[in-house]
Amino acid sequence: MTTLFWPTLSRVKAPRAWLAALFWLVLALVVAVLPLLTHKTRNVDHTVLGFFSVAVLPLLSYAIVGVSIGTRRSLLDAVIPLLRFGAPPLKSACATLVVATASAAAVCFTLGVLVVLVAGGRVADAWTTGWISGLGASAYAALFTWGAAYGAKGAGRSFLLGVDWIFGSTSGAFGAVFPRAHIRNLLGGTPAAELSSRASSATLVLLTLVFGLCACLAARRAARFSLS
Amino acid sequence: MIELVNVSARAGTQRANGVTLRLDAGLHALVGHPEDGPLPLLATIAGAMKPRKGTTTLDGHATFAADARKTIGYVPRDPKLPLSLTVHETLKLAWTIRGLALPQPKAALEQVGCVHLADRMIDTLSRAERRSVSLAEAMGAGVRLLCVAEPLSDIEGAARVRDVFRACVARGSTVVVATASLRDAEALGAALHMFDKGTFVRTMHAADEWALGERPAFRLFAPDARAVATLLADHEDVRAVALDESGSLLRVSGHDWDKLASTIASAVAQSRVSIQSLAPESASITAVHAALAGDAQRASRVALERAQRPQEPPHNPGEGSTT
Repeated sequence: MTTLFWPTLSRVKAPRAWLAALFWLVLALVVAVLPLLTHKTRNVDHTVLGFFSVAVLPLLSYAIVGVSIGTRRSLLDAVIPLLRFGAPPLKSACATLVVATASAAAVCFTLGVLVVLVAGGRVADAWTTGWISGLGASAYAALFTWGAAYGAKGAGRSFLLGVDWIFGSTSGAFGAVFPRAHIRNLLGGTPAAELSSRASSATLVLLTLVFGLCACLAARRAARFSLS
Repeated sequence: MIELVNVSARAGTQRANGVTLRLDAGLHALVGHPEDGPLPLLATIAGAMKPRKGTTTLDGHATFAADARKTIGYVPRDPKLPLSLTVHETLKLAWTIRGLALPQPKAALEQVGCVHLADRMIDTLSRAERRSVSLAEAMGAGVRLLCVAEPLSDIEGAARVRDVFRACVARGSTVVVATASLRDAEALGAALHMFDKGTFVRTMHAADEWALGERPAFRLFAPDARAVATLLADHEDVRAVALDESGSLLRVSGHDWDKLASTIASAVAQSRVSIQSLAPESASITAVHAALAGDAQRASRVALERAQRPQEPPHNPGEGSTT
């Protein structure tokens, strides 16, 4: 099973693959430090709840999934090189998903901590923002990996990014299906479907598992008829 | 043994319909134009595509199953290999997935003449180079079934391909190729399974000269080929020599491709004639199909004539004989 991780890990380790992610990293830190430089005031809540959680977190997770699967490729394209040698489709897709999710969680956890510290926040707040970012990023990564199983060159990934942006911004029950609503709730914004913080945390874990399972099953179904 | 039972497969406009075929150990060629369906059929044999209808099995096991693919090597027109790994890493990955004790990657690459590619990244390779790497991987894995699309075209180290296939067959594996070139199929010494408009027509062998034409044969162009013709005319490796009226086009047929080529080369060197071209002569697939269709029509006509002939009473020598 560990062999199945090799191709995805090699993609993730390649420095040139991280250019898009680097852009969002730098932008998030610049936005975090700007209030301190211009107005000489701290505005951690605005920075974290605003630009970082609304824009950077989903787009950075989107970019990391793109790095894991490969630029302009579907999930099936990413695992076919394994399937042609006899690797099982479900495990191969699962390996790609695990690397994408873990990478997104690690990077976004680190960035969440840095953004709060750079914006002048407390260490406890930085830690909280970090784990919320990591948890949210893993749910996003699973969602976008599932999207990458559909459409030419994984265009379903972009579709789900848009759907999350539109419906996840609402506070109704339907919005609770998307990571955006729960991340907002955990960072002190409007709760989704009036859920508590603990319920939102559990829902994010559940969404990660459900989206991940959907991604693996979609890849297995796509590989049922052809490996080309 | 590979068994296809009523297999239909499609890839775009390329279709194979209702093919039933049995392929024993050895070298086989699925011969036909792209629209005749040999390539999607090869994909189903290799386990890369599930047949739309029917079953494709290797020793009784469906080829479109992960476990079956571990024993099958497939070299399509455009192999999909892990782009972010080197050739060396790709071979190790493949053999680990196949569950093999890792053979030496360089030894496998040496067989196809591609040792120089060992440290290259897959995404820097040309298509021909990727096909060679796929072939090296299959050879290193010692697969039971090797499927190659267009084996002598767009592949690095094409000159070694025939030796690679012979080595495969010698250890008991089956090699199946798909090609639109009858000449390539004959050069490999394969059993020819002819396809026409998606349908399997017939299995042919080199001895079927009535359809394939007299072979092996070469065509030679030279300003004056008479001297070469004279030297070849009585040679034991030459079956027939034909020179056109202008004396510049020479057709030579023999018994063995390699010996004939060598004989012609010696004659050219000895005569010191400057030649413009020398190429093997091959019947076209269309001509073979026409010959097969003509043969089928003749067979139908003969069967019809026999059915229409009035029944003669059986001859009984015991009655009315005057011996």
